[in-house]
Amino acid sequence: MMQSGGLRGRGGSFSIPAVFVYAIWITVLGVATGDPGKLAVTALLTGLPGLLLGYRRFKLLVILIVFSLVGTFINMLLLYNTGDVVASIGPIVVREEAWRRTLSLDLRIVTLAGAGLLVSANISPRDAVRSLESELGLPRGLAFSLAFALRMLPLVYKDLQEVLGVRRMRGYRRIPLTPGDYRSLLMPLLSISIERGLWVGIAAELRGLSIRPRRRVRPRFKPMDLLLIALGVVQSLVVASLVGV
Amino acid sequence: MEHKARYFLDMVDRVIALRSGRIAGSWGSGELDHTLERLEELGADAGGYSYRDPRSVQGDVVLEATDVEAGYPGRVVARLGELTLRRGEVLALVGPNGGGKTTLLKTLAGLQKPLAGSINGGRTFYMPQHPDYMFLFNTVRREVEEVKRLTGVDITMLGPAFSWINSVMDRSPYRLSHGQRRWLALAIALASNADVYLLDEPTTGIDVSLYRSLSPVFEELRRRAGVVVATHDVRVVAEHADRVYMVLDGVAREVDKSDAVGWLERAWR
Repeated sequence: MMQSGGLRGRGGSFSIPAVFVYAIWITVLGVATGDPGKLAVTALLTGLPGLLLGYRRFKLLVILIVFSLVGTFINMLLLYNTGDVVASIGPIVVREEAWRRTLSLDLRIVTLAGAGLLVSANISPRDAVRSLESELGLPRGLAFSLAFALRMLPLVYKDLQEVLGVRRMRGYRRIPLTPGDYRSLLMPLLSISIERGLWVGIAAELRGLSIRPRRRVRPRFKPMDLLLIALGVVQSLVVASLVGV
Repeated sequence: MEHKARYFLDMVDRVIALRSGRIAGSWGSGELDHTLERLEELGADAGGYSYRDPRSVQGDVVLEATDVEAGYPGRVVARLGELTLRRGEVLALVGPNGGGKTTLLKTLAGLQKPLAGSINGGRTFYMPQHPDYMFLFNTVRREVEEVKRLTGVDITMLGPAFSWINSVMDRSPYRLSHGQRRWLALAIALASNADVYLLDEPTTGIDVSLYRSLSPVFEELRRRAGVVVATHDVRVVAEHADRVYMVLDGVAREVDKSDAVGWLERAWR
């Protein structure tokens, strides 16, 4: 049964459904285009604000994202340094293809990470699961998975600090620089997260996730959601090449 | 489902023991008097512990801490007045959950800056409670090779109790059993040749046979270095510790070992 009024919860100046749909939409745009010019717009309008908002809660994660941008540049220099010379930094000559690919990938990383952090920094997992299921009408399993992914972020952040500590104890660089470093950092994080997700899923089922009665409420939007809609439209037009950027 | 059967018998109506995927025994509330003995015969963690008197260790000092405050900016979690650890000595850190044992351990390891006080000593190695944090590669073989490359120690040669490792070399360390992961994590720690090992709950979730197989590794760590172990396990304190610090109400104080063992027993019951 539909009820009037939305869910109360943390979402700051924006409503939870609006932030969520916006982040999903920008992620789709970021994946859909590889053009550095278009990605620069999504990175500027969504990526940077998201990283800045996320920095308050996930400082180390944002720092690692910045390091990964440098890592991308080094990889592209090693693998795709062809074409005309774009710049020379001492003995390092940067050529067109390496520069274009670095820009494309880095701007995409900033866009996607920023969109994700925009959600993580503004929405609590509890509010998210209620809003996504009751207001947006997402299937219960999907809403729970998305909300749990939000809950995982602080846990992954805690795991990350443990792994970085162990890396130092074992004689490795604390801050990862090479692809191998990143792989050895991601391996434990993924393994621990998968195991944690498995057990949380089992626990959720045992606590009656599937048989809980479903309640629908009408989404309640906030005035500031108009800003998100405007930003979303601008970025969509840019990516769709209707605006000459 | 619990390994520490002796602490839970008064809470249950029936005990079922599983072995190799089959029910090896089932006892109702009227038969519980004999259950512990039968469980122990089956290899479950139902027996007691052997109390060892504390040793007086004369090795060189490997860790000194004075007036340490451990915690986070604006929040002191645990205070420690004086602590001196010698090579060959095992110091147990006990206390209730959430009391600050892990934070203190990480601070002593140098992973967290102390809010106040001073910590001096040799090279430390901290082993987290979750063994999975210790692994950085996708096969056991890579872990073994990397340990050898960095430390020169071949952990496959640690002894007969560790011989199973040769049959799982191409498996992911995360696919090993919980006990095997603990073993591998301890072996990696052992290879690090640190002066101080700080172990966070190293025996959580392991059965009695695995505990017995881990004990030699534990003793090897003690022989080479000083060991600080945060634990709730009465066996670790009774059988291995030379000194005990109890973290209570945010303050770590040295206590008599037999008192600490009694406290741990009462806490479980």
